[in-house]
Amino acid sequence: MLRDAFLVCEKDLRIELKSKIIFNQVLPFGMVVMLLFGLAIGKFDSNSLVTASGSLSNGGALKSAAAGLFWIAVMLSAVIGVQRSFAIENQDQARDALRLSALDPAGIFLGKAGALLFQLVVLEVIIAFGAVFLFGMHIATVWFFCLAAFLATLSLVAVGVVYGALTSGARTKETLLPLLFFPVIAPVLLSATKACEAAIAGTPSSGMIWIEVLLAFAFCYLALGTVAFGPLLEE
Amino acid sequence: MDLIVDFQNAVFVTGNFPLLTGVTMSVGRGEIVHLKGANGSGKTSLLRAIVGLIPIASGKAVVLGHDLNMDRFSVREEAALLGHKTFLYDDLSIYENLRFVQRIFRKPKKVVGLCMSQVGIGEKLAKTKVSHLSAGQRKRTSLAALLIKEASLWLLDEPHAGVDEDGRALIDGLITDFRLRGGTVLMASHELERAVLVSDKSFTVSGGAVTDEENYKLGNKTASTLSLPGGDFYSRSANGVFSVSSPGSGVKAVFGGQTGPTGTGNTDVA
Repeated sequence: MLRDAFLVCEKDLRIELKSKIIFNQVLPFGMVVMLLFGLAIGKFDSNSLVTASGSLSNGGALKSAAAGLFWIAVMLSAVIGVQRSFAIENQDQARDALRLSALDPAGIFLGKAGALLFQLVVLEVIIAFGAVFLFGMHIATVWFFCLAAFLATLSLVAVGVVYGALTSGARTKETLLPLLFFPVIAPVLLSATKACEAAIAGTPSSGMIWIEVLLAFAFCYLALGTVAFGPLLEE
Repeated sequence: MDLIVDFQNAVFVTGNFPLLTGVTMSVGRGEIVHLKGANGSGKTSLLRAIVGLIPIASGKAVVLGHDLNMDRFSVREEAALLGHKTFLYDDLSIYENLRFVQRIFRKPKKVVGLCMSQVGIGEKLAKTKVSHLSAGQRKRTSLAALLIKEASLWLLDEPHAGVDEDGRALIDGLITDFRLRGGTVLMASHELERAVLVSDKSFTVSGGAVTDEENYKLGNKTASTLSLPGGDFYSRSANGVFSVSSPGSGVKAVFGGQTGPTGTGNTDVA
């Protein structure tokens, strides 16, 4: 299973390295989302959008919403990432090739999740720098922020790959995936935001409960995906 | 005869839609079978059903000894499908696609180069992204992937479509060579002249069922010869005897005909 996962993960990352869709399209999309939310929440002043300190004006409101805005940007980017991950399998019916390959479906699931996890983590690092620059976000407890981000991303990719497989054969997959994905990951968004707020505030103990929620969520969906991916691939 | 495909009133359904409405057919080891039929008659569905991509609803379906009612996954390890689509990743090069296939099936790395040369893909072309290839080059890449898998049953869906004359001869040559090595082939094709030449018999598919069977070895066709890559010739005489010969060494192999049963077990290799 792990060998199969490695094969699929390497293949997906190689395709991304060649196509650069994540970095040329998804990353700019994430940054634009951040900027737009910043513009919507921030108060315009007559002189400039960015204050002398380098962050958007009305820094107080933005700072307090920074963690939530960061995760909304990541979540929206993740949907595109998931769609891209399954679009490459549908390009020339390569999905059938995977079915005919006799690769372990659990391995395919873990491989696709692994590749997506790697891409999203890199994306998050860049978006996080964007949040620091645009919103003046200061992370007091970096290790706690990283832990929360990793577990939340793991949850996002586990859910994303499960629902990506479920919808990738559907005629209306482009609209169906967000419709199914967003309600399911609402607890992840909430937990990740709360945990990251705790990391920003420098009070990791207050965010530990949310880490546990993220851990449980990631575990459940990874287990579900490992078991259910075979039937989903056959649908 | 050792049956590779044995269907009795097999019904295959997707959702509530019956793709195949009751197929009865049998294919022996070493046979090359031509599937005929109009567009939408069910040829592609039949090939996909044989390889276990469509669940069986009722009837009997045994492929390579695997009962599809019990297990439609094991057959996938021993059969290979060349579909309308090429099953390739557009963003990867030919070599990277084939390396992925080679690693999936745990074959030695050198197999990739061998199979590429068999289908006429050179080192320079191998580095080209699949998205930059023509339809014929894509088909050759798919054929190389088919060869890497080393399956015992080939299911070919319109193998000659979108391929130039050299490519068609190459495909016929690969089919003939595969038969020499004991392989079995089911081929859906509208290229009647080519299909008739290389096939032992045909099934006509209509309305999701096999409605007719024709034996090409009964001598009801005229004699014909096909040039194969490498200078060999593939011939079928008027009495239905198939032979492979080369200008240098004469007849290399003979199959079938009215005088004896067919199949690799009865193949006379010179």
